[in-house]
Amino acid sequence: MNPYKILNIDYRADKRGIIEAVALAMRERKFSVQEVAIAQKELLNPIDRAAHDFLQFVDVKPLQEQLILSKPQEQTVFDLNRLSIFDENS
Amino acid sequence: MKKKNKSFESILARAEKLFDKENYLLAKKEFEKAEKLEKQNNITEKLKICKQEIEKLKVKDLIKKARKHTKKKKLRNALECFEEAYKISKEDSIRERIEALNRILRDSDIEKAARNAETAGQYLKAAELYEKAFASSKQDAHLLKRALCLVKAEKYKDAVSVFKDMNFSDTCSLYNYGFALAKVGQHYKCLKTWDDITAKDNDFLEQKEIVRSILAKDIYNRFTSAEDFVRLYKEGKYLLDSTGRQDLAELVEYCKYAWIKELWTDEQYETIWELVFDFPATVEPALIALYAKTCFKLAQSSGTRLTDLAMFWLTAVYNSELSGKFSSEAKEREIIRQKLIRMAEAVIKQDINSKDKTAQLALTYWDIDKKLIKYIVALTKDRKEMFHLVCTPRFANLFGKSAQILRLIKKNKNFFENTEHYLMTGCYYSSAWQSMYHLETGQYKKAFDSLPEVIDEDEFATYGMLKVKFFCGLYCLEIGDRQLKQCFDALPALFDISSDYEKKLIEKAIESYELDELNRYEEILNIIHIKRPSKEIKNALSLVMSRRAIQMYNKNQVNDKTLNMILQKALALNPKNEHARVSLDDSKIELKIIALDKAISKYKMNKACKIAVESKSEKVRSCFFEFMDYNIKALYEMNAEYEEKLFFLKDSYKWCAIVDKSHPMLYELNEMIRHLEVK
Repeated sequence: MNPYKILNIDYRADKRGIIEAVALAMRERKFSVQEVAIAQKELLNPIDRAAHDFLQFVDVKPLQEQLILSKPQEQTVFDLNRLSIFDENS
Repeated sequence: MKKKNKSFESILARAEKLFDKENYLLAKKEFEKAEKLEKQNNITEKLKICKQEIEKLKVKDLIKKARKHTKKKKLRNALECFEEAYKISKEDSIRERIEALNRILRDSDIEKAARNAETAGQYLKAAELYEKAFASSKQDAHLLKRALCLVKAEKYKDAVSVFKDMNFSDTCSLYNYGFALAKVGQHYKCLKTWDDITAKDNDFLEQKEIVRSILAKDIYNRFTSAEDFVRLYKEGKYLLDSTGRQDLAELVEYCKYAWIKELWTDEQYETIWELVFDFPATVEPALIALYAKTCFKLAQSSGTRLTDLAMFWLTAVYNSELSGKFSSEAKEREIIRQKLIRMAEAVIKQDINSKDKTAQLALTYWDIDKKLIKYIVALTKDRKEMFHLVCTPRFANLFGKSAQILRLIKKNKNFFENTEHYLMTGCYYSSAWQSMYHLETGQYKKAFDSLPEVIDEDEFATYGMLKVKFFCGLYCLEIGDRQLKQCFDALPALFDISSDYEKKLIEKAIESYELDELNRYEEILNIIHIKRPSKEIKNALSLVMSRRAIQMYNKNQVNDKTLNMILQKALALNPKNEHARVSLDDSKIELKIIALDKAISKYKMNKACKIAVESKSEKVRSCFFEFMDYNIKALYEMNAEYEEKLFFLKDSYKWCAIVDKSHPMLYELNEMIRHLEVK
């Protein structure tokens, strides 16, 4: 169960944002009342929330930042001329 | 020569005869002659039939000729024949043939014109004509020729639109389609198409290289304008894989992570795993987290990657950099870590009762890893530079950290409770790690087969090898597999590390009662006894030996003498072996009774008395007296002479007295003697 998905919020959501999201989720009825309640409970508990913060999101930024993005080696590109070697009667 | 009868009747008769024979041509001539002589309705009717039949024959003949022409590809001649036949018969089927032939001839004309245009370099005109030819023939060949002419006419976009919906595998079409794709800027597609061309022509290979360079440049340009990362990754990866050019490697990697981010949102964990499965040589914390989380999600949603979850999850949650983000408070950090561990454990356990044994296997792995990683955490405590070594054994092996961890373990030998604890921890990080996991999951054969080929002086791997051999050996002893006898060759070294193994083997040996099992245990205990004689092994061997001897005796597989010999051997090993002692006494008694029986049956009473006197066994003496009692009573009842009976009874009294002066039988005998003497 991903409480962030159930409440349709991102990891920056504060307490107020969570409560608002709960009300909306209850109205939308996409998830059961129990699921919404558990999601709320877990996100309002700092330990559970920290665990979910670790599990539910991936941070690829550090992986991207360590990459050195260089321009590919320049090669003299000649114009392409059609080859006739593969023509049926060649 | 006989002259023809020219009378009307004879002409008519001849005509009728020919008509009956279906020779309508001659019949017609004769009927005409007859009609000239005399007009009759009947003749007119017959003439009509003859004409009709002649026409039919002519049509048949013409169709035959037309078919022959068709076969010889003389379509125009065939058409003439069909047309002539149709003039006569007006049959629909002939008309259809005429139409078809006309179509073919017309197409052929178009094709010819197209070919001529192509030869003359009028490619656009040729393309149009091929299109016309296709409209009529519906042959893909015409369409392919059209596409080729469009390429030649440098109408690449049109050519691509023709080629793209077609199936073809001929080199000419593949090349020209690829060329057109390259010209319209679809370099990746061009290369993929050209990959199907097996020809190694230099010009072609050069051209392919040019397209690759253009594609590389294009990927970079699109990347800088933040285009579709998925496409960029796929195209870049293709270039990397097909050319090995490394200048794009980091860019492709960047796109991969950008794509992974999208995939994570879409919960496409399988695809993420496929993308990251190609493990790099070194691994960053963020990547460890990615592995761990992907495994968690896959395990949770589909029950897959369970053993990988154990490997990555524990490494991730104990990683200092990753867990540092849980909380700034160490205590809270630990609580969160334990919560995450429980979450993963629950995922592994969710399928534990299913028929599939993977969950059970993963749980065993998990338990091992959970225990081991705690030792490494303790070893690296407060040593920041060592934090990166905190990982599970399989992770260490995968990312080349094992050697460093083993050095750490060696340096901190005193940390461990005892030698075995130290060796066991190191063993999981040694080259014998795989065998150890198999062993713990009860896969003995796999454990044995995956032992490292070279162990050298590695104390951890050696311990692993000994342990695996020991448990494989026990397993083989239980199931009766003699093939793995070599398991016990080096075993004494393991007993030196921990006597628990010796105890375990002895326990198992003592628990055995079946003859086959006893055989195997005796053999193995003998090997160990020779290599490392210990009191415990001696005692166990002695017991197994005596048990086996008795079992064999009971099954008539050994005689008394052999039994006696084996029991004496067992007692020599352990004089306190009560089982052997009692059995040996019994065996000795049995032997005495046999000797007694033999002496008595040969009436060697002195010898019999001697055996009974010398034997300390009550059983032997009882046997002696039982025999005497039986014989005396039998004689006393017999109709023998009075003196003879008296003589025998006195002898018997003497023998019995030699054996036991106070035996009640002597009183009985005395009574009998007195009774006879009074008589």
